[in-house]
Amino acid sequence: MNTLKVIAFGLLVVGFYAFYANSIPQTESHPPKKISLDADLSEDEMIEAGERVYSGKGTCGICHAIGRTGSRGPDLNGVGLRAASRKPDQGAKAYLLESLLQPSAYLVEGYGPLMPPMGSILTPGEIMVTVAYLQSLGAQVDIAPDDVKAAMLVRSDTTMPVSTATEVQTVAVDSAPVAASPAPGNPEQGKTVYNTLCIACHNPDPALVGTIGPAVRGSSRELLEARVLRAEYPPGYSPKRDTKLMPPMVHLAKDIDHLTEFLK
Amino acid sequence: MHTDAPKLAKPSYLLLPVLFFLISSGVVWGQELIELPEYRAFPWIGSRVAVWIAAEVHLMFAAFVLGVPMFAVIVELIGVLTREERYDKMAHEFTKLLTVAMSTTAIWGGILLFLLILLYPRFMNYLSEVFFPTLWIYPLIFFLEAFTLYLYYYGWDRMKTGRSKWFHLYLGLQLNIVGTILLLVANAWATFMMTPGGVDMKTGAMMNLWEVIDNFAWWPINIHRLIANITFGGAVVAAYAAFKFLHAKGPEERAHYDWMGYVGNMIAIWSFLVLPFAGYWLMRELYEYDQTMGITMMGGFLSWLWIIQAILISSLFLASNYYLWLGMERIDGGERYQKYIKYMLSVLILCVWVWATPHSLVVTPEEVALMGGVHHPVIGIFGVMSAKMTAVNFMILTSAIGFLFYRRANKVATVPHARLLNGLQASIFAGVAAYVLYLGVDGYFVEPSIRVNKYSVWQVLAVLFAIVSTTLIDFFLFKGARTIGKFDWGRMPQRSQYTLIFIAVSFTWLMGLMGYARSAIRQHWHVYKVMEDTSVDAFAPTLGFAANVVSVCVVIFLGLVMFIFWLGSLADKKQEKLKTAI
Repeated sequence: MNTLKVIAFGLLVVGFYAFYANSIPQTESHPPKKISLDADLSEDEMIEAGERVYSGKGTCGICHAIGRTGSRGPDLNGVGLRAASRKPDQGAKAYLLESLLQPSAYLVEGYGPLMPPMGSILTPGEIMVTVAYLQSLGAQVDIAPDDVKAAMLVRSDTTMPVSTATEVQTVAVDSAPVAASPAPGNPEQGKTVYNTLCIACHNPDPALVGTIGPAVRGSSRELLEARVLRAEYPPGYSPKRDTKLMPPMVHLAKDIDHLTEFLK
Repeated sequence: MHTDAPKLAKPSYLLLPVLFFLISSGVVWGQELIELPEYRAFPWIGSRVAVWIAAEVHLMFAAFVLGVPMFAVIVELIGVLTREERYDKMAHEFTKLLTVAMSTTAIWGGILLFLLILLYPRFMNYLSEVFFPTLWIYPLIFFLEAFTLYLYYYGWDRMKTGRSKWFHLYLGLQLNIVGTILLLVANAWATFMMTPGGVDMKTGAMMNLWEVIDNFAWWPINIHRLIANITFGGAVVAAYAAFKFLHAKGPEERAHYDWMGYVGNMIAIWSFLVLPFAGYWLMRELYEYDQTMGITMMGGFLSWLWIIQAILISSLFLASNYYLWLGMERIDGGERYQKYIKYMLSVLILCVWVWATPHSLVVTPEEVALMGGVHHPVIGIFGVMSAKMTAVNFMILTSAIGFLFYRRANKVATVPHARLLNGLQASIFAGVAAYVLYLGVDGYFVEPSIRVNKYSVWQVLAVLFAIVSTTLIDFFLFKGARTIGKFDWGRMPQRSQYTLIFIAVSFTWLMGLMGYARSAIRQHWHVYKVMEDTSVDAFAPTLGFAANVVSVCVVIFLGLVMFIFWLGSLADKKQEKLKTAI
């Protein structure tokens, strides 16, 4: 009799947990649909493709909401309109590209540098259609299908600079090693770059370990050039962490000397 | 020499090396003769669920088989040092459970391997390519594990005294070392699928075997599983003792199993208190490996999973405290502390309420409709990390206070300055509680990085300080204390034993849930961002569906465990008959 009671009790406990887990909101997580960007896309198709990236592979919806506040990231309702006036020297397209590729370059008030650079997650083509979708949230889309096609020509493992899509093509070419310049860098300029970009992962004090990246104080020019521009390490260098998070940022080629000076 | 050990083991563990030979030689899937299919379908329940059940039940048994020897050897050593026979008897009884569990582990391992090879041939082909050398090592270590275990168990009576006892203890140590190596090897396979390293991320080609093994999540999982195995082993042993207690025929038997249940539960609870720190480390490493993965787990489609986990762990806290309070009934003098139980219960319930409050969840529109908003309008404020961390630490503090009451239930301190030391203990608990609460409140007003990296750590350190310092003070306070009542082992109500069974079932269910979380985090990848899952099951099911599968696994596991208990009782009866005949 005791055995039966134990069995019944055990089943009751298991049943309670199963019941509870079934009574909370239920969601299935499906893999992102494969998006073909090969065809000549119309504007509507581009926006639709961007929306699929947004809610699928980009997993943007995890942190951003559209039409309501309270998530980790800013509400994106009307972002297409706001993007044009966020920074005086940038148009909507450039600002949105920057927001995707260097999310910490401009932080909306009240939000922290949580977003990972999407250049290491999405292909250039996917980034362009996402920008088109974001522009469509409140403004006219000024990304042409040719921009998307041009972006797709960029190697998928290369991070795009903050530029228009047509400039994107030059990135792959520019990613060759940079020759050491005779003049030393400007540490103040290096500090600006560091505080704008690097502190998303590295500690604001380069001598300390950051939330994601290691301490970088004293990094040599050779190391910075390899790591920042090509996401590689110099030959024979033993990495502090075997992380694959840091994307190549080829557009920082001109800042390598400044960063080197700042990190000395 | 015992003759009551089961004879099921040999065929099952002999199976493994044969299988590995077949895999490595390519015979099983005939890779050189026919083209491999991507996937095959398992009838009715589908391939994923079939593999899921086999893997989970295998892991549950493996956790038991690896966890129990750790404290079996320690209990045996205590028996040697204290020369108390009851410790030796208990350690022997722990080991008896292992012998049958070992063969069941191997059987489920064999089933899992067959299913993987048959249902996921392309994936297994890739994995065996990458891990080829370890596939040879694993069965050899498994042989050594099985050999050591049976020698350890069967040699118990023969190596009972003198120097041979120390050799026997060495065998126990070897059993643990070999078991841990086995765990490390198997963990390398599982963690590689989550956080692959040492391979070309585009082609999947192996570049460095050591980096493949020593991937990002390997050590965090190793530590997490080592501790969790002790917790799990302790809980199942306590449930076994409870089962035997409920079936005990006399007071002596009841007293033995009451004591055994108490020890098993204490092992489970104390090791369980360390687990959150190991889990925290694991999550940090996952974030560091891939931020998207961390966000998916904590804020994406898996976010509700942590609410289920909160319910489970809260239930475990409540149950373990309840067992402790009931335990005071077996101690004359324990009634002096019963008046505090209502306060401790109030604190625990309040903490459960806070911990289980959803707040910072990312929700779908349907979920918003169900909840009436993204955040609950009234209690949503308690759902953030700051409040939850505070609640968990208060639960640990309350449990520690309950344990101190339990320890002093039948004692009266006689040392000079007893009042002072008592007051010091109370001040430490009050001071730490206030500090934890202060950090919890201030946590709302600081940057997340400060809250996560500093405040959470300080809260934990403060609680650990309180536990360690008050325990040390207790040691001095009750040195030479006057005993006012006896410890009457066996004087426990039946509901206390059901509490132990509840704890074991909850731990098992929790383990199943966490197993699902670890696998689901890969989403539609067999090997994260290296080998994509293109099967019909390449999606993460709802938590309700996952809970149903976990429940089936728990029922299978506990059903088999009961079967093992029954086998054990048959052997006991046989022994009794033999003794009576003699």
